[in-house]
Amino acid sequence: MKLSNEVKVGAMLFGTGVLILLFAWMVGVQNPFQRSTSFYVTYHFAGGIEVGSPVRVSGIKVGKVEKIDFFAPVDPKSIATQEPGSFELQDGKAIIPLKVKISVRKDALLGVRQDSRFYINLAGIIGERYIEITPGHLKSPPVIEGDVMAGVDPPRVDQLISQSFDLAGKIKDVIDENKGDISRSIELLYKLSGNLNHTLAWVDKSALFKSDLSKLVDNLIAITADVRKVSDKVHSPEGEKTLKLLYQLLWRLEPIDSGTIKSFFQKEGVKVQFF
Amino acid sequence: MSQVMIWSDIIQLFFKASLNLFRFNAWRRSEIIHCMAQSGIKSIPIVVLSTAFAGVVVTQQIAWHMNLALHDVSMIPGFTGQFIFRELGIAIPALLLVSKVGASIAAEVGTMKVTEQIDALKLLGIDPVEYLVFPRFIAGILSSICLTLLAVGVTLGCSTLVGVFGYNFSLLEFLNGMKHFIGMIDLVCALVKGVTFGALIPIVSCVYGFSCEGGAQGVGQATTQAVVSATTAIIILDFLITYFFTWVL
Repeated sequence: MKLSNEVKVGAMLFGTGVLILLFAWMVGVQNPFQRSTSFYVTYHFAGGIEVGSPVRVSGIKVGKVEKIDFFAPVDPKSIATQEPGSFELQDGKAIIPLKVKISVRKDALLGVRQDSRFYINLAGIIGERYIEITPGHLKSPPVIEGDVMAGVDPPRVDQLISQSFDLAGKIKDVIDENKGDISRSIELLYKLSGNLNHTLAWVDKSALFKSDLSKLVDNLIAITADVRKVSDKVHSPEGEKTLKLLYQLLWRLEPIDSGTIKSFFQKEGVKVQFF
Repeated sequence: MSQVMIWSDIIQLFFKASLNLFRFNAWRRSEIIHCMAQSGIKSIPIVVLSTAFAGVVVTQQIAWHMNLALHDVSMIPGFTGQFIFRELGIAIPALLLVSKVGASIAAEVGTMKVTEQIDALKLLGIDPVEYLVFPRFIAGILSSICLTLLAVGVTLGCSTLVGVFGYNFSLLEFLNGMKHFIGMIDLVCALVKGVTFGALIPIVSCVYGFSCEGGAQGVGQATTQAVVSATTAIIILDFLITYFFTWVL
């Protein structure tokens, strides 16, 4: 059967349409039939997040970053969770360096609550950035469309490196300034260790230390063993009971002074003289 | 200097052909379908065969290099996917179209020129651009889009087969790996390149065909020059479009 050119070209165009749909699915074009909810997460530093970055709830990809706004003013009351320094107030409005709009699948939104945390994480060996949402408590109110949540800024490695450089510089300055003292201290330490070595060698050779020291150590071992037994007994129910009784006895003996004892003996017909 | 003139003619012809987009009479359906069958349908076997092997070779090469440098082949899907979407799946069908369709158009129009058929068309009051160039221009664009997407699909398919059977990926694992790296911008880039190359090939070929002089030798020279110029133009435009999509957008 010979197909006409029209049929062939029609088939080619149809195949192209199918391929476009297939590639659109591959590149992650949002399924128009899939229901999702969008809300905002604010950051000071987003560490490489970009539009299209994945959003995960409990490690499962459930959405993506839709939009990123810079220095967006929002009502401070609308920010449910507040990280320290996550925004600055200006004319009653909170000015946030980064406001990231994210969309999350409706079914996954059940776990996203007002007390959920929004971390920026790194995945894979090439370091793909994504937003990780940790589920909140079910008692906490759910996140709804348009809510503004405060995210947890990722650690700034560049800042840490620059701070460590600064610290290293300061340490170097301190060493340079106290070079004489430090070298003298090292010399003294060296002498001290030398003396200690001599002393230890003398102790090793000394017959007195060999005999008496070993006895001393043996006694110490015996004492610690006894102490251990006593402490074990103290923690036993009997020991605790004894301690309780001792405490009660002391509590009762505590108000007894010379006057009390004198009046007690006088009542009994005995004359006593205290000091 | 003659090259400058030729490229000036190419730009002029492009604008003339584009102007016909807004003329209802210029859209001759049967002629466009005939040209698409010639340039598109008949190119499918060679495009499929070439891109299939290109996909296999590129995946093997990327895997070999990754294994050599990183001792890890887990990123094959991402790298091959992006390379195929941005370059391989687009450049190969375009170059094949130049050598097959471009040469054919240049020879056809060149023969019409040396046998004075184009002069006869003009004498009859028929605009050669509307009659000869426009259907090929439209057919070139549509065929190029179809063949580009087909080539990308075949190359990705073959790459996936290599990944699954050669490097123990599961099918979903490989496709998910690709999905992480390929974005909407890559698909748009592929389509823009397809449209550009599809428009370029018939225009360049027709200009060389129209400028053909002498007999059979002139037709041969025009055909060769058309292929060389179109190939060079495709490579340069490929660089410019890639640069634009990578660094500007």
